[in-house]
Amino acid sequence: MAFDRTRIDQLVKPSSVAVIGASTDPASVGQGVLKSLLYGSVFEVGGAKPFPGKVYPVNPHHDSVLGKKCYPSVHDIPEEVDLAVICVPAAAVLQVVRECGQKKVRGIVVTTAGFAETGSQGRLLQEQLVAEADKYGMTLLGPNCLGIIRPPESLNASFALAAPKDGEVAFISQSGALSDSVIDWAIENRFKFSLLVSVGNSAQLDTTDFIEWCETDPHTKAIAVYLEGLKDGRRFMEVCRRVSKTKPIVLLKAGRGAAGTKSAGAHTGALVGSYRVWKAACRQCGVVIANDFEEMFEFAGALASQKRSGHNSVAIITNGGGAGVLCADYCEENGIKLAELTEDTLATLESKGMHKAYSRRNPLDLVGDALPERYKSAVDTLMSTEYIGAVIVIQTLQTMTDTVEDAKIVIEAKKKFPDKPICCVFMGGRFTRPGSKLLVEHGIAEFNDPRRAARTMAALLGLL
Amino acid sequence: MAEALGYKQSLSLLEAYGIETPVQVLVRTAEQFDYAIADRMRYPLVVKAIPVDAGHKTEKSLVVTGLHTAKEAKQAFNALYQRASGIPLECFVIQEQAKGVEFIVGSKKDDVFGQTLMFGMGGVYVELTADFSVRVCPLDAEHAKAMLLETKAAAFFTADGFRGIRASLDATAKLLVNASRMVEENPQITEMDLNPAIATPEGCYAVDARILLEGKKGL
Repeated sequence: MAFDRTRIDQLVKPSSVAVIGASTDPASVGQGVLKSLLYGSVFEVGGAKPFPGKVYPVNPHHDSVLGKKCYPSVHDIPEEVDLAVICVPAAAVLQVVRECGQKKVRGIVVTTAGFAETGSQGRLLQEQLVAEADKYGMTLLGPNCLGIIRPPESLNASFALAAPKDGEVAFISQSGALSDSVIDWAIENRFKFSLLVSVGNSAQLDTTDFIEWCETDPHTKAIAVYLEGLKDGRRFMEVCRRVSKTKPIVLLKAGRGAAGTKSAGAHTGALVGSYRVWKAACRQCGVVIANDFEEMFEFAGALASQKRSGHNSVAIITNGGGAGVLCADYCEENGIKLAELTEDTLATLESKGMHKAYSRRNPLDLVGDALPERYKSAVDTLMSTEYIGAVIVIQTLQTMTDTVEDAKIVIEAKKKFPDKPICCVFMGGRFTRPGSKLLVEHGIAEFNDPRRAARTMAALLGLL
Repeated sequence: MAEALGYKQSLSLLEAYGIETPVQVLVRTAEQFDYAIADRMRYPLVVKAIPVDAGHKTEKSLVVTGLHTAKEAKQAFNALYQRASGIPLECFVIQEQAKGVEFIVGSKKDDVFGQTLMFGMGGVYVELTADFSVRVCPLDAEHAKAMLLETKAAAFFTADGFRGIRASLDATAKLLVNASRMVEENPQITEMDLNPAIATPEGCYAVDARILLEGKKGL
């Protein structure tokens, strides 16, 4: 079946939402979803906006919930309903879904657990759920999911604890609980999302559908995916091969089970484990594999804000020898090639003022007392040098270091050479923060650790 | 439960997909083996007994290599004939001994991605070295070459080879592409080992094949 993006539009851009199972119990999922829609966020995070469309609580046991009129069933809602978020017990889901179908609801989100994840009986119930949704032509997200959050449309149809800010990274997650923690982390780390969707059991729509939808979503510039399993690997590859050309995709895969299966004495079966196949598949279709959550968002953030480059020739600028050497090691481990600085380049650097004891090679050690002028000479010279494809700027904190000025130099250079990736390592904490904050605000990847910078640089250079 | 494809059928399948094998003759009985057979081939020869459900031959000592005359071949054949008594055999194989670099080319049908191909340094040490590359099929020649060059075997494919030992990049890549086409077009193949596949400066040959099929469907 050809992909129909309007099916997902129905989940992402509704003008009215019903919450079925809205409850007066503050600890219930139904109340969580209703609060998310009415206030934008369950916990106050500042800046979360209420859903601008209509919201209808549905529950036969209440007349009103959170001060809103509550309807006994969707049939009693006088107007059309685009999206229904279903938070009733598993045994009641089929009936509610049927009513939604009769009401001509277009999309349903089933948060309820107790389906295929529980065994054969749950699997049967899930099949019935899909059949019912299909019968009425409804788009189904879930079951067993956290819901969907679309910051650009101020839609929070989930029971997440809070809503992240409007950004450029779409996060598609097979785990709802992890999404919750990711949101909390994102708020703390000023990370923003264009879409956050928990696909749950992927009974009808799966991860690949959302990746495909993101291809033409103007708000999404990079896609982060947390995945445990998938049914159709070939379709995943086909979609990712196409989408990753314009929208970088970063994947964190769980369930790596390194070993292959022992079978009937053939070598290949024993050697080739499923994670090896995943890694091969991802390489073949341009998907970047991250090793952990932090990496996934570091990669996705950098890939959303900077252009990828195939020019694997990197210069490291540092004011500390140790950090530079460490960074060079991490670069090598990740397939990054360090550019060899020519006599011409060295002459240019010296004409702009270098310390007598500067390293005269890559990593370019400016020496610990480097003031912003020396950083500027180095950053401008190397960024404008043709044979250098990307730059890592390391700053250790000395008494004379001016982290804000150093950050501004990098930001200016990036503006002049937008095609050359830059990663920064402003090592430190409290006194480095003003500089690192400025970098992040200007879309430049910044890390407190040369290893992470090297990894992200490798992702920007298409080496992972 | 997987079923192993017989030796003869495996050979015809490889042939159908252009996968080259060493010159070989299959015989079923001692009477069928005479000096003339050996003399029509290029020495040295290998004699193998092929059990009905072949496991690792070297472990069961059902292979004799380095046979330089028809007489040596016949003696080896007789010895094998004795040793294999009691083991249900499909046939005996008299094969020209390929000389070159030993690789393994394998396939495995993955639950999520379907047919995959594996290449590594071969022979009996592959499980120790764990130096192998993997791709999801299908594969074109360019992908196949990349797959060869990302393992340590890359050294054999350079102009000077590794310590002067060279292997043909084109021929080995071609074998990979053919193997990929073979498993893609025969989805009932769940696993395959071409082990060893021996590469020379001119060619690449599947010296032994083990092909496992899903259930009892046959080809």
